[in-house]
Amino acid sequence: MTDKRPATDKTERKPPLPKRLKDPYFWIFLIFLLYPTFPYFGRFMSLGTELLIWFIFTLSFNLCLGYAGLPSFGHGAFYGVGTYAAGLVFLHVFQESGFLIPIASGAVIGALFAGVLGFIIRNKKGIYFAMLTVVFTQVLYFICWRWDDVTGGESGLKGIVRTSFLGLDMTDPVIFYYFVFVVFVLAAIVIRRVADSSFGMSLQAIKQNPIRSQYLGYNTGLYRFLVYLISGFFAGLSGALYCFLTQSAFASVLDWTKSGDVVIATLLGGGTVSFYGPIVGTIIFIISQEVISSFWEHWMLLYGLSFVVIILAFPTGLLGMLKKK
Amino acid sequence: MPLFSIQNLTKRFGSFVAVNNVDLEIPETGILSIIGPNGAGKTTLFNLLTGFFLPDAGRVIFKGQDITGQPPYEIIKHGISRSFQITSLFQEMTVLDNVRIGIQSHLGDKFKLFLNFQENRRVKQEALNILDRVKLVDNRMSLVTAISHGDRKILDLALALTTDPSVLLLDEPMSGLSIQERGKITRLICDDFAKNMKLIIVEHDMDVVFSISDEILVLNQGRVLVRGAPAEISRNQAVQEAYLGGEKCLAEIK
Repeated sequence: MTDKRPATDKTERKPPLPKRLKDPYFWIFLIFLLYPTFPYFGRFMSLGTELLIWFIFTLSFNLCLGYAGLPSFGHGAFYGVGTYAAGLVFLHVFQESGFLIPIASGAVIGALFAGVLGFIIRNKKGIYFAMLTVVFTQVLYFICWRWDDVTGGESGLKGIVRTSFLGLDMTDPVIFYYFVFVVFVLAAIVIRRVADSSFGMSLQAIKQNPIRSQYLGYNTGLYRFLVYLISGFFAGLSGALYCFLTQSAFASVLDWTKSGDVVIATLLGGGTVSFYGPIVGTIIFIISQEVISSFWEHWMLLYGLSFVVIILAFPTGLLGMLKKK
Repeated sequence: MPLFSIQNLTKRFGSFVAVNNVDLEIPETGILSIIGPNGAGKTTLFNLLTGFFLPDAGRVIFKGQDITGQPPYEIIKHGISRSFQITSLFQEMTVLDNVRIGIQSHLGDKFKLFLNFQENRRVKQEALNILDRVKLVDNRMSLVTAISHGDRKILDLALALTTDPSVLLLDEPMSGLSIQERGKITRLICDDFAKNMKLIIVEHDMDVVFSISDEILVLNQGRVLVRGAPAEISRNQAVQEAYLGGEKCLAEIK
């Protein structure tokens, strides 16, 4: 209460340097810029690349969960669609011109699928919304699994290769890492601007009080549709990048556990309280998965239990926990 | 032409008829108060007029235009706004941000993907003007959860103002308030709202209702019991029986 007045006009003006140092984005940027030079992690280029891809995915997902409050429990669908779209476009249409167009197609097709689903379920509530997203993902999963002629069925898509791009040799894992890094940096800037925008704040208003929002002129269904479209674009983008990381596409990207993982990673880090919660959560999630699974085959058990404990004790995630202090 | 022309309006919840075949014409000016015992259909009538409920039968005509069945975000475009009996705010935001949400919608900035919410000066200025108007500007940086119930009621009114309405429906603006807070809101209604827009008020505080209204409408069991000037209503025997069980004479209160 006492700091009411001084805090009033803090908005405009660019923040001075020390304030920039407090910005988590700066540190994430720095760490992942230097990642390939780390003596230990340097050998894990594909893990680093996968982390960056996950960041894009969880940030896009958090627009739905954290900002719009939509229980989108089938978000893996748009990631998977992005993977397959990129693979198919590469194999059948634009093989010569490299991976740029296939990756862009992955993002656009991801947005398209998300838009269609988002439009259908835009006015569904709570559990019905969640179930429909899960069902949608399962349907896509089975289509990819069974439609051998197009998706390759069980054996997936093969023959996807990274060639050179702008004269850079993308077969080199470090160079590909930096390509993904650049995409991540751009995607994070865009998603953050959207989150802080008038539109992003409208989403939060609708999440907090949909009825009042309607009485202030907000067409709540339209917003849900639009956020799905935007989120689907970046989810598709991350899926497409993943296609070129693994140089393949398997139905496993559409498995429901993928959709579960992104929810867990986002909640774990505190996506509902902080823009960067999903990134923190993803780092913990992916690294612990790599580490624990390497020495204990029933690692899922440990991981499941720890998740239950964390969500029960700290429903706002790790960043929510830190923020309270 | 009447402002609202309500024809055969009916709303049922299961077997309970909340609003029963109501025909009503509401004139363009003055303060109209709607009173009646609990369950008389007052709030349901508001919800029907503002598109929150779809009526089971009947029509709502506003300035000659049929607005029946339009959702709230269309209704407000006609200049109709409302407040809520149980304050309906954005709980995790500051007072200023609450009002900004309303203003950015009214000024057409709500869809802008890359316009920073906090840096939108035009919206901020308009929001401060509204807060100044309702005397809540000193609390602008407080979270909604940190302000008093009275201030929340005022913020609820401020949100209703952000759509720049020509008709304002107030649903029990005095409920749960202290005498001082009631005075504040009464002044706001009389000195500001009544001069700038048509007011339709549902209220249980009879002192306020009888002192500020130009016209009073009594609802009972989903029907219009009687309608008239405050003096007529306070003398009406049927009203006294329906509203106060005949125990207390409204004329005495007045």
